[in-house]
Amino acid sequence: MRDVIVIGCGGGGPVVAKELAARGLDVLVLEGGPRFANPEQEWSRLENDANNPTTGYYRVGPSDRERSAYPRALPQDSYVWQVAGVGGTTLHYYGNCPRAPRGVFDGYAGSDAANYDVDHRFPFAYEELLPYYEWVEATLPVQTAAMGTKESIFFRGAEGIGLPVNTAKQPEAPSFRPQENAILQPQGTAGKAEDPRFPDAQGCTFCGHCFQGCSMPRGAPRNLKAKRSTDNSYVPMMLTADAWTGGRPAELIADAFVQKIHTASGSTGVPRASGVTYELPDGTKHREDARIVVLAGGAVESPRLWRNSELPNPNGWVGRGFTDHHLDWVFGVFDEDTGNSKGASSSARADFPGYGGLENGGLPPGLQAFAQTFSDSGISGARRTASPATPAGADTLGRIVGRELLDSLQDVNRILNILVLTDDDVESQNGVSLLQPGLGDTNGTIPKITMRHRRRSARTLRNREFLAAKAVQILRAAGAKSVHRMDWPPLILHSQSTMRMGLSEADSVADAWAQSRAVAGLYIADNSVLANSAGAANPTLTTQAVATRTAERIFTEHFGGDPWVGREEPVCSIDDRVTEAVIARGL
Amino acid sequence: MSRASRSSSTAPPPSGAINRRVFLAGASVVGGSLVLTGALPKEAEAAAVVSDAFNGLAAFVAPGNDRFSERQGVSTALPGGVANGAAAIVQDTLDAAIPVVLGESEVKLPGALAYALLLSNYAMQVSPLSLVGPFGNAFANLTWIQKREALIRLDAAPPLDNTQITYAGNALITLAALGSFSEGTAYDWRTKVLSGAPVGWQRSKYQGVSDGHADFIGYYQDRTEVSA
Repeated sequence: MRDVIVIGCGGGGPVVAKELAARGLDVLVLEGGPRFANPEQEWSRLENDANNPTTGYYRVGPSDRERSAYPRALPQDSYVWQVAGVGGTTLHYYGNCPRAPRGVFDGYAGSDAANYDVDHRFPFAYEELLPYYEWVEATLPVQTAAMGTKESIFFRGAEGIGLPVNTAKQPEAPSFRPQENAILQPQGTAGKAEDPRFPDAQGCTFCGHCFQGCSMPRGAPRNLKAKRSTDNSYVPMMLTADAWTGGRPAELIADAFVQKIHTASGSTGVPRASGVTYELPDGTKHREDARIVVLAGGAVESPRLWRNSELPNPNGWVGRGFTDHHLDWVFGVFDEDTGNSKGASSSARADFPGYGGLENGGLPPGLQAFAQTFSDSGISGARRTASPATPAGADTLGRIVGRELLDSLQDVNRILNILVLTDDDVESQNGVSLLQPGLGDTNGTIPKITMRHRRRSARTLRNREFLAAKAVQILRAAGAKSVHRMDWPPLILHSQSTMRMGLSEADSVADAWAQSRAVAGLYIADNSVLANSAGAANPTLTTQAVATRTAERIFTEHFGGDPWVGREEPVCSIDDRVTEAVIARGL
Repeated sequence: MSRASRSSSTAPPPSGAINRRVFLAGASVVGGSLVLTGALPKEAEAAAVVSDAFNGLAAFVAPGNDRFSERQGVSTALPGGVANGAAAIVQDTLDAAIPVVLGESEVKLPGALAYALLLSNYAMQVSPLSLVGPFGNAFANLTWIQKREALIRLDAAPPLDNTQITYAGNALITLAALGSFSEGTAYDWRTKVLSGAPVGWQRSKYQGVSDGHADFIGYYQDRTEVSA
């Protein structure tokens, strides 16, 4: 019997695994997707090859790309852009690590308190999570983003509409700033050369391929790659825990899809998690038992596994309350070079607490074209669909096609994009359920993802319109010659709160310690456990802070250990001890 | 009961496969008018139904100097989405996404073929004469303005509400756009060989994959860290 089994090796699972491996526990991590052991050779960084949602190497599917992706039922206009594999969706994330605003936590009493999702606050105060934020920020590490051409233009626009700059970690009022991100700052020739090599180049080389995977600087050990996706940070640490602390390395099995969580009778009458069954690519099934099971399969797979395992769902909230930041996209076309396809993809942001945020988003041309043609408002200039979106001051609303697409994309580096991150409400109508039994793949019944985007709450729709208008203003102030709003249907990149923790037993799956209310010994450690949309903060940092707190709780509650956050100094994932172990073990 | 739920349940074909059994299943769900007009092509013609549909779509999204663009009346001097292989990208993606499950029913649609039939169906709503033309799918025989109208109708009144195919408008156009400006078919993922500079890169002045760029300006207001 293991001490702990972690299901999923994405943004949250490796955090729990690393922390508990460092305490000497026997930790097994099971990942349903592939492990990319040699990214410099495996990742072409070509857009369709990487990001095609069903055929790319960053899809939700098995390692063998000759086999179909794992299907999702989408009963509305939408894409779900997650990644299966070691690193999970952090493989394609932009590394942005803003803390969630204070207003999303319990006990907040600021003058704008009513402006947040007041019915679904985190079940603890911001101050409770703060030391865990700091621990993760030191571990990844999180740093102030370097500036490229596109960021300089974004800042010019933000200054132009009178926003003040924020020089702290936490935005307290409308403001702009360089991102706090998990991308190592450029050193040496990084960001100054077209052909940088480690060790002359360290940190971000400005290659422009965050979304296709970070394997730069070329030649760097895995834990010194620039972007701190978990495959480059927490996973090397969990696999070398003995080398940098007195711990025990975690065991990782990739291509091991967990199909069932087992339970046994608990002492209090509540069932207790006892183990899992997983399947390998050869079709063999394996069972492992553990004292504690940690569910971290992501906001879609976690509720799917729960339901396929037929675990109890007494209040009906397993899978409900999906938040996705109701993303939107606004772009401007410029007469000057914007560096759109270069550099870290998003190093600038503006925050509007209570409404959400904006961030720039650099793209190569294929994804740029994708972004410019994805709309819930139909083709630009045509008669309207039923979408509630307005132009918000933009010159056009809707898909850009034909000659207009060719014209706007005649130079990909003369475009500046702004991604709208809406502080959206938890709503029970949006969530993950199962299709009827029998409609499944080898891993069980297919998940059905419902997002009624045209019927989001009034606050969600208000926030999105407000932010879109701000994005238009920033682009105009920056000097765009034309500005276009897309009104994206759900492009689910930030997926949260489908197994939410909460204050009330009536509308949450997990308690304030991220332990399931209905199954003892079963914790949740991915984005799904977030209580709400984290105020539109990119979710990974908050998930990782909560996961760190969860790991500490598991250790103290079930293994008789002492807490460590705030009492010990965290070891950074680029520490020499980690690097030496990574090199010695060929990780 | 919807037309979809009355249709026979069909096991999904192997990825990329097209056969008459699957074609008929797709037609019965989304191409009813095709059956009524007697326009159901023979098995040998099914491939053209698919490839011509998506080439016509690629020409609509990113016109070029190909015959699909010329047919629609909007073309350019330079190659466009058709030359970049966008049709194959769309087809491969949709076929890989199968089976497309229709809501709570047991009906499964055969990926690219179903979407190609859908385009044909909407094309004939816009212009019944589009059945006649040089291409094997009515959509490809339309003018650019007519294609636009067909896609507007697809957006405004999506088919088979509460099913996966509801989002055909976005899936088709965005995948064609991705296929038109990405590496397209210039790259073979099995051999990991990129054959020349993709058309989409040339049209967008994209320099291609790089290990780095000299674009590091510095730090805003020279601030390399912020207060806690």
